Amino acid sequence: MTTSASSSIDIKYLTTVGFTADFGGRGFHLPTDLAVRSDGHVFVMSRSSHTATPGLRIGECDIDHEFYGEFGSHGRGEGQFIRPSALAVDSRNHLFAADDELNRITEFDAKNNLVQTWGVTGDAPGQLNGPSGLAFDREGHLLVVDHMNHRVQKFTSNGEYITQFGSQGHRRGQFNYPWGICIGPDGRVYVADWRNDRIQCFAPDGEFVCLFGESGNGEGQFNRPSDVAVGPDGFIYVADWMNQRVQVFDSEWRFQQSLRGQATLSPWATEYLAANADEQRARESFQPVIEVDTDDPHEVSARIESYFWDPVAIEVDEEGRLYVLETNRHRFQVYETRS
Amino acid sequence: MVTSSSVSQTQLISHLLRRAGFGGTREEIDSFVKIGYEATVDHLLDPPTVESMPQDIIRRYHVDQSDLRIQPATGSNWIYRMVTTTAPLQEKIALFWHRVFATGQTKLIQGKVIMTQLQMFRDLGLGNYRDLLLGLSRDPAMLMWLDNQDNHNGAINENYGREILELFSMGVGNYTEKDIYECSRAFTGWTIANEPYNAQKMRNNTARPYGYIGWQFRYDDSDHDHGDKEFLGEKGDLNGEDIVDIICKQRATARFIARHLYHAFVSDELPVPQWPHIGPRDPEAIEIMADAYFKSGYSIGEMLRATFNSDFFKAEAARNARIKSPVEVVVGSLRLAGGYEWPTWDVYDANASCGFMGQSLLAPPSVEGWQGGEDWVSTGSMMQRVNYASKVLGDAERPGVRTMVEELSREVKPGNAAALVDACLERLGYLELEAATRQEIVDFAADQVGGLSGSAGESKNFAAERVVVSILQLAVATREFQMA
Amino acid sequence: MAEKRDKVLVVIQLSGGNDYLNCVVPYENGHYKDARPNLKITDDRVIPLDNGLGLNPGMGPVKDLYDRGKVAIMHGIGYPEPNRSHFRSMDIWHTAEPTKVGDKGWLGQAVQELDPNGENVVTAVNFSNGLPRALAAPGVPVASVGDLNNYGLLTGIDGQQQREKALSTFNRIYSPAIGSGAVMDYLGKTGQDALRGAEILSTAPGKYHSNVEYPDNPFASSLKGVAQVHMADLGTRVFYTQYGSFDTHADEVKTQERLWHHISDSLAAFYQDLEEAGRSEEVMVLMFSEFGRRVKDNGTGTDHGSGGVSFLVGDQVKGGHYNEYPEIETSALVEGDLRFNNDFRGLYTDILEDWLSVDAKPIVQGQYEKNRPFVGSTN
Repeated sequence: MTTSASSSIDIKYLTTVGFTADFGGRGFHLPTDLAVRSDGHVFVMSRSSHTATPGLRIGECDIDHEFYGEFGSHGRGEGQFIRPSALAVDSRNHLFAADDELNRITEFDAKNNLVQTWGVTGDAPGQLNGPSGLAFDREGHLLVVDHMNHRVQKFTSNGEYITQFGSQGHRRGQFNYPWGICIGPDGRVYVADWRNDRIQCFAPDGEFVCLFGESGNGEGQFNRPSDVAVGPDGFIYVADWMNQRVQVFDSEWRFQQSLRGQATLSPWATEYLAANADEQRARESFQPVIEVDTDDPHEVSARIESYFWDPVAIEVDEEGRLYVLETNRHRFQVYETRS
Repeated sequence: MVTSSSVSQTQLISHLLRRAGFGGTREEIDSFVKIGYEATVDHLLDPPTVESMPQDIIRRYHVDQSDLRIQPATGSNWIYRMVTTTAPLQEKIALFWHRVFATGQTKLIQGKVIMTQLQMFRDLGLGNYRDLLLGLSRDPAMLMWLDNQDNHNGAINENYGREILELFSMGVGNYTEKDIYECSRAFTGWTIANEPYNAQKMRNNTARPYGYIGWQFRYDDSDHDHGDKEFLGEKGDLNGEDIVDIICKQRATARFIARHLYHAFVSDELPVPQWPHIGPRDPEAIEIMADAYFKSGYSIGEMLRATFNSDFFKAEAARNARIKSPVEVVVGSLRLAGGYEWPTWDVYDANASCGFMGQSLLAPPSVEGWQGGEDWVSTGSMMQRVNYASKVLGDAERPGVRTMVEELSREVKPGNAAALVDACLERLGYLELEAATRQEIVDFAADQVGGLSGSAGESKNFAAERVVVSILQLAVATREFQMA
Repeated sequence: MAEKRDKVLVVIQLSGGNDYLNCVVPYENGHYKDARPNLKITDDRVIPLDNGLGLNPGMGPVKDLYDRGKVAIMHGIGYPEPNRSHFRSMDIWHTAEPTKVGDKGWLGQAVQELDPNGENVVTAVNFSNGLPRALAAPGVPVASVGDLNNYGLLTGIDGQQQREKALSTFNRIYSPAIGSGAVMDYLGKTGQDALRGAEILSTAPGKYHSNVEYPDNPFASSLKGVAQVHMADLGTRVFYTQYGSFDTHADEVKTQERLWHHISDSLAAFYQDLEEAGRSEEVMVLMFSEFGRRVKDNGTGTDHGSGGVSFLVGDQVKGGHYNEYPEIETSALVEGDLRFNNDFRGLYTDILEDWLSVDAKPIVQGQYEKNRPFVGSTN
């Protein structure tokens, strides 16, 4: 469904879920993707740093700050990951995870048990080189952004190759290291064409429909967009990664607003501060938003804790809640959207 | 070393590239020989392009190199730049200032603020010394490193006020304890935004709840001591800017910086604490550099231009006379070997190796940085240095090594060992060996070539490549390769 | 034992800050239970020791050694003006220098005393890459071994024969006959020393015969390497190993227990290995961490604190508790941390003077109360 041109969108901040947990446990570490299950459980993939290997895992929680546990670990075995990149949930509530180093897709069932892994390295049809984005289409097929091959491939959930589209370049339908992907309510496929600084839209069969965006930091301009999401009402959200913001458009790509982030302390963070009275005291005089002496959005985000810092992945759930995952702050912010 | 009386242009340019950069490949050296020595100096000081692997690409793959919190991330990020830059002197000068203004994440905990400081060294490090010293005095990492957030009107903390004179500009013996006190007063109120919380996070060594908060300079006039001060004979309500102005006018400053530059770019000097007591190795060189400082209006780049074009820099005694720092060993090896066209996990190994050899980037052992020279070498670090270089230059998967091996394996034939070894040395950036060292490697090569016919089951080409690889590995395992 | 052997120190560094309260657990103490609502070790899980204290559930084998009187627990250890930075606090432990940045390691200085002329290049062997500051001292050679089975120079050269030839060429091109000048001479000597050390150490695995099975965990290979080198009689006096990370800001209960399982199981195998070879009497193990952790938990973990615990393990150790467990009551804490009551330089003095027989004063720079934890040392 698409919205009428005159509708506008109302976005309200709800909450922040997260905490720095670089060796595992309640919280995340340098997360790169999240997926929201139909029961409201949120799965967060912590890619973690090169050295903090216990930090690599998939955490399960919800927006009421319940932490259910974690699974997956660093390694080359089944159910393990080296460089995990993306998550998606299918209609059976199975969770799929991609690894852009192992060129492998891993499937877990609704109880987080390992079901299977598949994927062959290469550039032939059906082979993978750097899977970086996952989405299920309405037929239940898995779309994989095969980013080093600059294409999107379609598989059955068992990994049988169906089709592909895209090649390296700047023309319509071509990609330059694409990253995130989503399926709109109309079944269309949206791809964050990362190094072309634009979003491309395709018909369910992979036919090019449109592209939007150009390089820059103004409205409707992007600097390395990493992900895209479309709400049930047709509004489009772009994780404008290097501009450290989320841009919101209506279904006709008319600019609506830009979000910079307004994180608050999660209960996990509050509990931490309660255990560290010296920090809690020092935080009393803390000015969260200061006047900064730099124009570099990355540096601005480093200095202002409530702003998005590397907003890498976004999702909109069935109720129109927007989730923005920030790699460098180990958390996601949740917003309510209403059109 | 080869002691021919006439040093070739190739040898001189190789020397220059080892000092003003991380050494050249044969192709780089050959192309600079075509434009000549002085033009090469100009090129290094004013590079036509300043490019290295883009940060967006690095951050996408190495997610820990965006928040730059921990050392493996910061050091590796800098290694990327040093290995892939088209402006090697810019990195070399950043390394130089990182040693002189040694700031460590061992205390500051968050690495990003030091990466920002290093960017200032790139931007200002070859420019006007006044700009650099002022930038340093406002640099949040430096302020916190030397506790200037605790330097208040009426409650002086002398740490920064002392070190700016002792370590960063003039050296002991050119000012009094009173000057230190007055200088410290002038820097009261120079602090960072949100100091109480940021300082507490630093003290508690914590990245919780949501990672670090980047620091920002803040001048708090209400905490500044506006009283009259007298510093090096000049009087008034001096503020930090005035102090920097006065410091930069001193001949002692020019000489002190010159001696540091001499140590890093020409020949090893004594440790700084001995400078007040023992004069420089080459006083004339120091005066030439100091003159360039004043003539150019405090330009560090012009001090270096004067140095690189001087006889003392080109002298036989200066060539291959310095022990390479660990970073020079690692980055020099990687620039020869290639393999950094796209992000590679190898960068973490490179960074860790610098640490194993005794130079953990962004983590100098103290405010005095690394002394260098023979301090770099112990049995443990020697093992790391030799093994690192021979591993990297023996890895035929790397494009630079691949090219060498493909070209050189054609030269593997009986009776050609000497020519083969010389061709290997040439491709290692015209590496010069002692005659006896070279002869030993020639003997090794002859033995390897002689053994070729006996090796069954291996294709002839593969066997020849293996011979070339082992010669390259041995050549970079020499003492001579350890020198710059 | 037929001959009197030189005493040997094995250090196990617990990197990241081992939580004292959940390691040696005051599980009957009400203040402990109050401070740790989310991660107290409950009565049914703790391994009871004595005096109302118990061990972390991962430390079963340590309890067995304790019961045999081989484990000394050093309570409340720390230093004045505690520093909560991992780096700085570890540096303080390494240099025995809490007030200024030290440049010499306490064990490096000890090795200097044990082998003043650097005659044995393997007097100190470190099982990790790079040199811990504890072992750094001018002119002290230290072999840093990542993997004992693949240790040596030019390890990147393929083929046994080719590598041996390359190594013999290496030896010649580093000989004093080649080169001119002090720097080249120094490089030559250092290169040859490195070669010699590698050759000596590479003989160790071949000489080692044992039926003891080490556990399959990432730490065990370090202690197995120590056993191999020690039993090869190469004259090594100081071994250095490390394991972690104990930096349990989150998920502490699981993580700390897992790490202690790895260490305890490895330690039990190591001790058994030494005993079966009749070589346990001359070996003593020190386990320490850079700091303890905050008393109050943060929900799922604990943050950096001060006041910690160290252990000595060995045949010649008089097992038991040394010093008092610091008060856990809130009013007794310093900024939410335990108040240390046992200066680590006293423990260093015990080890330096009464184990390695070197003068402690120049190393710890002063006189500190000793614990006298060795058999034969008088209280």
